[in-house]
Amino acid sequence: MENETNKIPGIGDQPEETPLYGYRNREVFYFYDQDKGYIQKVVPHNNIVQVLIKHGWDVSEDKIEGIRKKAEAGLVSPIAFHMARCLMDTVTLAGYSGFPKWRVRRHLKPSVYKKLDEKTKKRYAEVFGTSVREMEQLTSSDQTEKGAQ
Amino acid sequence: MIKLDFEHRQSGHCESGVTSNLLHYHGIKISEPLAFGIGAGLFFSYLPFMKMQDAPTFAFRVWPGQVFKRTTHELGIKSRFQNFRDEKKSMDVLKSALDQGFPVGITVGIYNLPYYPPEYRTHFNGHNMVIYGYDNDKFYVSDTVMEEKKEISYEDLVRIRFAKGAMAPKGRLYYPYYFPKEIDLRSGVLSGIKKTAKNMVGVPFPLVGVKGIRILSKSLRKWEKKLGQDKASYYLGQMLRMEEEFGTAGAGYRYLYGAFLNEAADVANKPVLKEIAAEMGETANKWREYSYYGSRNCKRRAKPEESYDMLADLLLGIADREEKIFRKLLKI
Repeated sequence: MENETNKIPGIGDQPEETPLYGYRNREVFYFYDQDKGYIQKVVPHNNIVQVLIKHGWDVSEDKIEGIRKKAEAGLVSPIAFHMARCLMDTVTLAGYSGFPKWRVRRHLKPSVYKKLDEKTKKRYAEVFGTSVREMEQLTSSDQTEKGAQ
Repeated sequence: MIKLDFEHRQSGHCESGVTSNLLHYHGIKISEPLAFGIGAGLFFSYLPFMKMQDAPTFAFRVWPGQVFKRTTHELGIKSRFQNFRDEKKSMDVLKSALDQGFPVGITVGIYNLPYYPPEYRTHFNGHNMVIYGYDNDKFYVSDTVMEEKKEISYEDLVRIRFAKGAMAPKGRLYYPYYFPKEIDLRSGVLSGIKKTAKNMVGVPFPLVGVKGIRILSKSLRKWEKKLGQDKASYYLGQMLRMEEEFGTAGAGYRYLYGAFLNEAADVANKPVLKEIAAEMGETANKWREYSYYGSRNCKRRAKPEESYDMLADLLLGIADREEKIFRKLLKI
């Protein structure tokens, strides 16, 4: 147990230079120690933050994969998949596409999606940065779903 | 073209850093912690009914934009704030402010920010940075998250200033333009402390301040049973990400606030604040301990004694400590 407690990042710790997840940026963090008082240091992310960032991306990847399966099975519309891929919610998608929220929510249903005209689909495809054909095949040329490579 | 001689200093929290850097440019030397404290940035609220990214909302600071507003207001500095509907007009106003020699703070969404660490990509629309010059289609950026100054193109700047979604920035810009001859830091510091203390222990509403921490601790015990393992760990992860990530300078701004109290003791000539700053530091270390065990839980490596109950107990201890601190600060 004692060993474990020592891993709580403290004032003297230098976090590992190669983080769990790709990109490395050094940022300002503050530390407090009874003897040294407050200290400001420019360091890479500590192990806590790295675990948390990785956890966040793992969860959203699982979620995107789940929605992809649903879209392939025809339970949700392709718009729902691409919305998840671009990490959006209905409010954000409504903002970017210019449709009201309630219409965006309806467009997530496959039955409603089938009746949409090309123009509407194109507006969504532009937001997602793909073409309508790619959008319906659930692929995209830009891999936005993975934040860090 | 214009390029102001703007000093870029990296900081822990984007908005306090921007505030401090902007005031530095105009000769008012206040540090990042001071800007954060005078702006009464510290807060806590837990809103289970308001879902953000499929998880309850946890906030460790006041609403974005408040820190700059309060700090400048407290110090008697006048600033200009403007939101826009029209994209072209917003860029013209930005350029004309730069032409007059004012570096300009802007609020942006980070999803389309080209130079940003990709692991941060999310539709968060409350990021702040300073534009200090432009050259044709290129704008010079001082972003306090980054180690160095950056450049950004006209199109990218428009895209991030008009990001959509919750809390859309709507091209918001702000810059201070009038500075009084005498800056009364002391009264600003004291009023900032009072405001924060009131926010933390004086609000008669259960979900904010110290009471919010207690309620969070209570519901934390139920998460696993009520929501299942996966969702509970997602909620916990989301809470910890809000606490440790997103420019909090560590432990949900608690270190930053402690550093402020430490500095405030000298500025306001109140030695008792040094003791409270030490207590705040200990509390911040407790928060860090909490996030450490919590992050192990997210990794599913938690031992039996690191269950949600243990985390909830840690939170209760933190709530007691913070209540003591802010009750003392209320009497300053």
